Amino acid sequence: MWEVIRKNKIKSVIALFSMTVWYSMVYGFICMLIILSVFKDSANLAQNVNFFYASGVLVAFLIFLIQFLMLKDKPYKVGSCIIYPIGKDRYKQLYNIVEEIAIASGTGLSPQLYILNSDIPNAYACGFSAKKSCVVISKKLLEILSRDELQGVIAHEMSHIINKDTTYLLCSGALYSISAAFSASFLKGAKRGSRGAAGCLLLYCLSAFGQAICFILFMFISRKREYIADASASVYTRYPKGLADALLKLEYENDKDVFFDYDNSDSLLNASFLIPFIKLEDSIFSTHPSTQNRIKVLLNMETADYREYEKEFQRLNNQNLLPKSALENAKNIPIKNVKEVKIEPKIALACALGGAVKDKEQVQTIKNNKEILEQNIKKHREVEDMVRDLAGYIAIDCECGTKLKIPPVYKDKIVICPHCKKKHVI
Amino acid sequence: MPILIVLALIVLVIFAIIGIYNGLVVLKNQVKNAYSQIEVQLKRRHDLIPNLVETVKGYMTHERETLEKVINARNIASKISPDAKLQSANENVLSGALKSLFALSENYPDLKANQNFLALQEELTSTENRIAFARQFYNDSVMKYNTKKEVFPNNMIVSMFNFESFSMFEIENSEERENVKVNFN
Repeated sequence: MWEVIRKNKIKSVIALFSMTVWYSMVYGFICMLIILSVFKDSANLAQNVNFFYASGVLVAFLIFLIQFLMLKDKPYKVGSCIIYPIGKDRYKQLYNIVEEIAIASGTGLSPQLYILNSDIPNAYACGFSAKKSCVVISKKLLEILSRDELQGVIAHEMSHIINKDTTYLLCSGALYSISAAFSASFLKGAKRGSRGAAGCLLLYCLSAFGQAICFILFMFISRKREYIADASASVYTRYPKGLADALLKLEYENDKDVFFDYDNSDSLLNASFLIPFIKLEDSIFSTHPSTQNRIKVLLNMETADYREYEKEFQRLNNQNLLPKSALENAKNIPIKNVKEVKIEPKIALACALGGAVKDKEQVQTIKNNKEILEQNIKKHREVEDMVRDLAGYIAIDCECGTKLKIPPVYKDKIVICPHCKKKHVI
Repeated sequence: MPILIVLALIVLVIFAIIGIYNGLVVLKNQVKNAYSQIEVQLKRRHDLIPNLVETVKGYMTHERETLEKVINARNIASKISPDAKLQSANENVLSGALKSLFALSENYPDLKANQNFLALQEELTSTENRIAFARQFYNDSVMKYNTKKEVFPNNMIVSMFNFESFSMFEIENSEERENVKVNFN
């Protein structure tokens, strides 16, 4: 794994360094202009241009340095959702899983755990250093995942920390935000149309060009990092199917929530999530590879090692992912074999509703309660359907038993059932 | 001048030897560290089992034989032996006994609904995972260490100094690899 980390590190340093150099040059030029305008009357101006330019670059570089030193190390909010740290007693399983992965990776990493109070299932890792890192998981995600799936997700997020992806993301985020602020101010200057508007426009073009290049570079590395984190997760857990199942569930859940307010999530924030908040196709601008591609690679794996992941990745994408030196030691590590044991539904129900059932009578009461609950849900659904009917929704019954409710704003003629993929004509 | 070149070469060789030696020591310590991690986790499991048996005893009165098997396996395994192979064989026996205990517990709905039992089951599931992960990290480290020991210039240095060799944990049959998963659906 260290080979991958080293390669990652080199790439990030090159990307960050080139970004810094580019902006230092552009802003150095501005600083030079400012300094020149201050010392307008100076006689030997022409000879000192080089000196002024150098000092301008230095000032710009210092600004960057200060920004890096002020980097925030805390998890960020998403929209209006609240984040809170969680205790060991209530989320014993989550803490257990984190410790398991720390052992599997041999790092002894213990990130702080936070819950994102959100109904969107997602997770992300952040933090400048491995020691101060944290993993944030949304409440919904904890609810819908099984133990093995949760293990896959945690392994993926912790791989991001171990592979130093979070550090890179934080640095480039800081750089990007400064440059965006500069670009915006140039654009304002150009729009105002005062003296020097042309200069502002030129600077804006320069700045925006650099920004675009860096952005594409950044997205490209970010996409590869997702795959690498997937590979690490499947090697740590020896169970790629766990992560694949989790991604499948997330994809399904997120497809349901089409009305989520995306206003507060920008692209760089998006890059750190388990699956993207903003949905895009697998293009040069997307922060995440398409989830379907990731699931395909994970499910195709026959053994749980880097070599197998590389093989499947190449078959799907026709490009390399991991450095050769990382593949030498890893071969033919078997996937964990999970044998399923079915529990009687009655007992499963009792466990799901809070455990501690002493006798059969209690089980019966819980069963009755469950029936009442189901009836209530049925009634609720009927009322909901009525309201939808009034609002102009069209209901289509699919053959697989799903009821499709199409809102009046839906413009297409054809709708695909999310369960059986059958096409229906409206 | 030729003396200087020869001297420079000697210094270079010495530095190379120091580098290789240090690299090997780092790996060796990593292997030792990984092994102690396995021991920590095994100890954790040995400590949990008496609690489990205590909880289960009241419910599974007809499974005396299985319970005794678990306790015996635990007692044998908890005397940690210096031989990794023997230890792993003992631990595998214990794993098998625990697995049959959990399989049998499926027949006792009252037990399955006991909070204490559920908590213990989670702890044991986690411990099983930790042991498996600690072993896989140990195996990876041993493999890396052994490879590094056998590569050309390194093997000469290894023969000069005393570098011990380690054996990997192995799982005999494929059945042992199967973890029992509990499905609540």
